[in-house]
Amino acid sequence: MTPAFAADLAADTRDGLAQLWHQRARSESNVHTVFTQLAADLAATGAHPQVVELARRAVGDEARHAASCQALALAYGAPVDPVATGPVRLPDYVAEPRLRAALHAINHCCIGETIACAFVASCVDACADPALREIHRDHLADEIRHARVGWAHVPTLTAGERALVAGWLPELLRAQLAAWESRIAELPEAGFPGHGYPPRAALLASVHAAVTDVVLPGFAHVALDASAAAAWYASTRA
Amino acid sequence: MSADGTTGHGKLFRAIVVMGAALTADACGDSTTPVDAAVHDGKVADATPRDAGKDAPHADAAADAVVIL
Repeated sequence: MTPAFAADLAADTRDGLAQLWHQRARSESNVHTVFTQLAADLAATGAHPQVVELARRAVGDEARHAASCQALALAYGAPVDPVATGPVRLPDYVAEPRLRAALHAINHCCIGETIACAFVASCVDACADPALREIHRDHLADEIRHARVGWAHVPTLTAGERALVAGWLPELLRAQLAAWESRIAELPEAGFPGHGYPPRAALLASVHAAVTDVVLPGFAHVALDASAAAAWYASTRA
Repeated sequence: MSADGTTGHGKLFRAIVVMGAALTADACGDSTTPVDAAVHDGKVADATPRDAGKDAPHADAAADAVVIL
């Protein structure tokens, strides 16, 4: 049965939303793969039990997200098309396993999943239907926990490790922003107001607000020197 | 905005950064993280342990970043 939020839509709106959610299901599957790698790496390198526990839970969450996104795609009329899981992994920035895991946690959780929280929060605000809003709120609650993996892990790093990862922050921030901006550029400019997809400009604004309001102040909160990253970011926004 | 999360995405800052860092405060001797001031927003409650990630598939294609959208 078609849910109320997907009923009585113009054909182009329905098709557009179906494609967006199908793409989102693929993206969530890729994130599932990345979290699987991250959880294993954190466990293998002696991360704090709370960090490992959160990361392992995220693996299951992302699989559930992929399934719920695919269910939404089907609700909007997408053809039944199994979600392909891409063979994706984050770069091996360094050879040393513990440092590599820390860089992955910062890249994917402190930056990526934190941006995802702001992105999904803006999607929640763009939902007219309570049932659809609830789906986005569930995702938001999970993304917050996923971001915490990184913010919980950084305080456990030694001073020496923090100094080493600080040098990577500009590159990690650049990589994340490039990924978010390129994907958002593929979305419909006007979005689908009421259906959880704000206009592109609003989504981009949410990404940058996450950087300035959460990510960069967050690094200061956990005593990670992000001055180089902040300077790089400021230079791109000048 | 200030790092205490009082403006902008202050609610997200507290829910993500402050509460996240507080989870491992025992491991780093950090007693300054204001857990009590953090946001408990209904569904944003702490995670319940669950054994979710096993048998990680090996993936070969590197990506600088993987995003959810």
